[in-house]
Amino acid sequence: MHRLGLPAFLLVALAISLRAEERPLNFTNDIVPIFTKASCNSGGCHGKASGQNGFKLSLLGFEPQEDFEHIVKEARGRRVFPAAPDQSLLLTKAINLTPHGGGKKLDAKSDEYAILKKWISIGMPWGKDTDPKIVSIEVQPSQQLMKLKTNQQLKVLAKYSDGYVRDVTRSALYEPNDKSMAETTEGGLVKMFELPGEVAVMVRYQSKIAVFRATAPLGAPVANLPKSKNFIDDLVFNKLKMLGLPPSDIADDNTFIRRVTIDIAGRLPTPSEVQSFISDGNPKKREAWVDKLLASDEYADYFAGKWSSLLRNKRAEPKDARGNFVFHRWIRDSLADNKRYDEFVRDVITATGDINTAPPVTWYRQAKDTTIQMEDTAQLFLGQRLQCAQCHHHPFEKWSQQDYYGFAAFFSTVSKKATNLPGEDVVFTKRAEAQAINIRTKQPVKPTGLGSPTLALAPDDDPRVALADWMGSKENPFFAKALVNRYWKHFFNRGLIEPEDDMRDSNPPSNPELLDAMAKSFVASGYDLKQLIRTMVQSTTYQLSAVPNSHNAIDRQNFSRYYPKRLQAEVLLDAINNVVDAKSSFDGMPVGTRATALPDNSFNTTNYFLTVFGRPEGSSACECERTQESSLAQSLHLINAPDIQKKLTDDKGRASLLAQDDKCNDEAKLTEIYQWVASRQPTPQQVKLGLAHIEKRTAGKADKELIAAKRQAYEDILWALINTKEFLFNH
Amino acid sequence: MNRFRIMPRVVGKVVLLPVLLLPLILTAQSTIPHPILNTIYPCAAQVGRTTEVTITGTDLEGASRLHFSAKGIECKAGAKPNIFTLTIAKDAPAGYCDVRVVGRYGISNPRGFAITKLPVVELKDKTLKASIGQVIMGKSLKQDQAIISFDAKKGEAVQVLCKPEMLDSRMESVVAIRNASGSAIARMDSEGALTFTPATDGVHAIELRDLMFRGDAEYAFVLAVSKPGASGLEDMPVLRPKEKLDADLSKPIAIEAAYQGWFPARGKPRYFTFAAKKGEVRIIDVKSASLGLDADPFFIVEKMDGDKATFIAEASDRPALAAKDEFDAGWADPVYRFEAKEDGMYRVKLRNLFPTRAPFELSVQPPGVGFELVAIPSEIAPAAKKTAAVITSAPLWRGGVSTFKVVALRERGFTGPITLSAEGMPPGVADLGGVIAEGRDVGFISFSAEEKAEPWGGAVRIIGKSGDVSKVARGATVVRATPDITKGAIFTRLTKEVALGVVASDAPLLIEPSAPVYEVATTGKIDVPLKLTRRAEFADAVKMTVLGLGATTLPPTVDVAAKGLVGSLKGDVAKLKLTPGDYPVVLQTTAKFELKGDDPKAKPKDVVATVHSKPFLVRVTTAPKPEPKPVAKPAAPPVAAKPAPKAEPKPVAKPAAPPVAAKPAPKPEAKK
Repeated sequence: MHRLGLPAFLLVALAISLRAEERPLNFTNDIVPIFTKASCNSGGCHGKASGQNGFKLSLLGFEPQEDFEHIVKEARGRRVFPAAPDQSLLLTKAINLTPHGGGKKLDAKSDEYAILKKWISIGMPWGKDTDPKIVSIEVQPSQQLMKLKTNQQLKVLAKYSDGYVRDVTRSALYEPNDKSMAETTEGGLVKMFELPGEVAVMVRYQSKIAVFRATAPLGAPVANLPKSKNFIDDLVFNKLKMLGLPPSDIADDNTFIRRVTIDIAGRLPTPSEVQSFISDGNPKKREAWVDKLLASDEYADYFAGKWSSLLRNKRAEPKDARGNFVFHRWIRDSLADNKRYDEFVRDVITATGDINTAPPVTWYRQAKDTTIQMEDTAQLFLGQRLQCAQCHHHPFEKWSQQDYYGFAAFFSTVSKKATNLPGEDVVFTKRAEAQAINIRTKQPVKPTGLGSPTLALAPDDDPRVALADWMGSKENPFFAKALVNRYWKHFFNRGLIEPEDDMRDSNPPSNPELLDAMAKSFVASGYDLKQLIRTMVQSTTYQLSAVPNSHNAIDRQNFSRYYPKRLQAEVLLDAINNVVDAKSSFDGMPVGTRATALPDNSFNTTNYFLTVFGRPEGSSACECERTQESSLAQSLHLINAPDIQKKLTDDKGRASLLAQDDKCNDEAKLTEIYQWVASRQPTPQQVKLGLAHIEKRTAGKADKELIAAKRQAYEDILWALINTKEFLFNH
Repeated sequence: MNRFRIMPRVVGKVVLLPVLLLPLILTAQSTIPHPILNTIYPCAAQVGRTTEVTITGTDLEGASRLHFSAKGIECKAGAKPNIFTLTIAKDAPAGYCDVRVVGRYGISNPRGFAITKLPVVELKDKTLKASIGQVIMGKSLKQDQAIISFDAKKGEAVQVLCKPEMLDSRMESVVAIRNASGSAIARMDSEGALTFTPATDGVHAIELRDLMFRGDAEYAFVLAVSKPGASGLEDMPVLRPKEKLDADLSKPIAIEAAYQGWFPARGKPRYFTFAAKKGEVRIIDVKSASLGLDADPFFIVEKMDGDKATFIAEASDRPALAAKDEFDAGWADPVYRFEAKEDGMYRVKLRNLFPTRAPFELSVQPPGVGFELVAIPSEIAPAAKKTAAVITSAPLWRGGVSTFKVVALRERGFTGPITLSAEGMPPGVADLGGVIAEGRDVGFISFSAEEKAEPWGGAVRIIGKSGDVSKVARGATVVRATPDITKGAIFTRLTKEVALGVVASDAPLLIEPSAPVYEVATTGKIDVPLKLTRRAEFADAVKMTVLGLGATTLPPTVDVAAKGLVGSLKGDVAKLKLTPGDYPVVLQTTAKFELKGDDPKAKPKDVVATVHSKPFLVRVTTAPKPEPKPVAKPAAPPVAAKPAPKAEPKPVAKPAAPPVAAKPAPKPEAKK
């Protein structure tokens, strides 16, 4: 491991400046990086679309020609003064001699100041067309095994077209993908904290990106690994061994059945299901239960809700309702039938027809224009966020505007025509040459898959079919990984890449081999979603306990234990109904409809519970629309909201029924409650506590008063239990 | 004004075409009563049985009988209003028919009704035990679903058929089938027929619900559980392609005249080739959507040189059927007039924009005579809001006129005139004839009733003729009212019959042109004398608008003073931008009058009616060209040239004398 201290860094910096002066100054190569390093051209300053206080730079210096115009020629060249360079507005602002909204960005004694001053003094040369251009950057080291709480100085080398290599360590920008694991300094020093695992540091210089990956092992002994059930375990356990991060024990049957039932079917297991599962001696009972869940209506309902939101099945107006129901039904049926995922996606993006003949055309109702269609497709199905590249080169990725418009061209011939049903247009592709105009070059760009050659399509070809072909090909580097990562997050509460739909070189997976293997397995299965889920939940990794051991409590990305997650809004509402034996009533839907089976977002407006617990509105293709964070509003709602109180105190609810039931004793009743709440028996202490509370409420009461008091006691107990973390979380 | 865009829908065995129905609007004041049949229940009856049905609707006073489009149904009025006893003959044809109610104010719109040879069982609760070979009838449960169970045997296919739309029900059925263990084994997310083969013996369950869990009296259904094809309620195929669905549909087919085939799934193309010599014309026509099938055809025409195809043209939806100010009815089936620029082979590349595997008929033929007709009852009451549509019918009041708009769906490039006539009317009722002029898609046919015509309600036949080709018009109706078609769907359909009802009350106003044809030159002015006959104490001033004078934003109006008995339609042909040709015209106005009910003690109420004139034809002829005048040489100096005198206005076509009187034109039929 390199341990470079401050003196060494200064030497590097000095070397940089000296080298820079060895070659004729070139605006792109030597001047623009100074603005980028000083954040002058960031999105929050002069780099935003409108510029800042009349001075505009291209975002992150991606358009040097424009920057040159703005600095040298705009406003009659008032920003630069070659006769007295130090008097140049560009410099007096930078050092805050002239009042500058952004404050002091450069020191007058810095090398950067010196370079700028020299550039001005020699007449602000643009450079020559023959000047070398940057080809790539390299970070050294590119990966490193680091101990916790240690540092690593990075070195960044820029390679130019003439073979010249330049150390740009000081001018490069550094950004870790997990700021809880490491931080970086402006000079490229990486400081590891005390969390074990993988962290990637994105290094950016001009339009080039490089990544430094640090692995920080905990170093604890990993002696007794659980039995591996499939390749997931092999790859996870290998990583844990390498990190010295011992996994937790395997979860017991009670925990497993609750966890997997919630994760697959979005519901609690019933006490009888728990009882039956526990008493089942079949060694393959976990596999059998998973299969049963995957064949259930609840699985289709639960995942239909997930996809319905991501596919923007939003009821923006009442007249949208029919399309919402039809599209949700189609998604649900597709999942129930286990339609191949590549076919599912194809049906959506190539949807042609009306809502009756092709329900997925509903997607095009909210994805109204080419921009949304292509950006959603990239983000949802490929894990690529291309939005930035619409206006400028993607700051964190390799995607250029040419890539953006090449991808947009796939949707350029999508057209709509009205039917007799308002809001239910016919979607089709008009006969035309598919192309999109690059807003910067003003030139048409033909359909091009990301990182792939441009396609030659005939005017009457539907370019979306070509897109679906490209996406669904086995060689596609994004398609399978994006889905696998999305589902991994669903079951493991953290993607192998986070956020799950932001896959890029500068945001690498925490376990690349695992992601590759999962994607390969998914493709080999014929894009079988149910098989993918089986593979995940039948792994030992998934079945590890959420209870940390003495070493892995700090693990947050290596899956050495199950990471608990708060129940989703709909699941939680249904779970509360199950526990207190109540039914929800949603407008127009049958009484007792489970929240996980609702077709669209419209029910959020009339059900505050769903809103406060973060049910998405279907306004975007981002999973982030669903909020899983806990909040004070949620806590208060559970504690004293009228709708919760109403459920608890319902005459037909569990508390009332238990109070009136004279066939079972209170201990048995407490057991039933715990089986609903936590899928387990209560501990003796919990029984004792519960009985004491009942006794306290009912002491001295008889007849109707006794029943009323007992009912109140059970209401109290139910109320207390639905406010426990054990209930609120899947663990 | 884009009033409607209507997609085709299938109703029973009737082939649907897109039509446009003018909106009829309920205003704050009472509109002239006209019966509207809303529901009939039970909505199914078994042959050889007697069934008591109840109807609901508006303006059902004096409802005396039900009129069925199917034969073999005897109807007797019950003891209470709106209840009827039906006796279905044993040999009555199974299937869906139209039923209308005949009452004091004529005959109503239709509703669908099912005649079945299978026993009919009513769903009265949430659950029902049924058996294969039964028809279950009921109403969808609001915010719930029905469970219909039946015993099934392993390996024996079962068909579940449910088509509420055929009953004009609002229900959009969703069906799921569960086996004895509760697993879903089949589903049908829209109406139709679902066939499945149970893998196990045992009780199976049909879960039936409305798509959006709606339900009330307007959400009726008939669900048949039978062996495949044995319910008697199956669709009759409108096309019968000989090719198999599993055939290789990618192979090019040489087409000589017409070919029936299948669209491949997912919009994959079909190829058809034909030979043509330079100058030859072919009308390339596809039929599928217009037959009520789930299709949106599209084709391109290419010139073939070996394997190389060169694009010539594309064809998608047909343009609006008529001028935009009349209506806008886009039509999904494409047609293209092809003229070969050179000898050679040509190719039609045909595909369905919908992903469905619908059948189609492609024809590549020389121009000829071809058309279909749809007759639509005209407005009954004035419109208060242009974006609303209500159910209408065709009441013919004594001494008055009832007008149908007739839309021609032209084929084979046919543009010639179509003469209209009718038959099947009762004594005292006459058709006034009509014409769909050359090059136009819309015409009118009117019926008049004598002042002593007997009340009546029944079917009439409207027939269009052109040369040797004769077609019977199909009727069309709005299925249910839509307060605002920009926010809610408009549902229309073709009907089994065109119905007319004679009302035993005096029409308030009769407007008659002085002659059936009025001729005017392109440079002339229209001046059609009109005669008004007032009844029912109607004395108000009258302001008429003109239907049929083409795409003009400023149609001429006719004003007649209160109590006035004459008027005239005036207009400047040039300002109206009328080109030479025939223009079938109907004048339309409103009349507010006192309507006396059957009860002489009851206070008469003011009602408003839309009144149409007897139709007539405006024939615009080409004005004679002015004599060529000597033109001054352009090279000559301006000073030398004499200022040219102003051109004398050319005499327009017989402007001096009243045109009608001066030159009575022959009847439209005479124009060939």
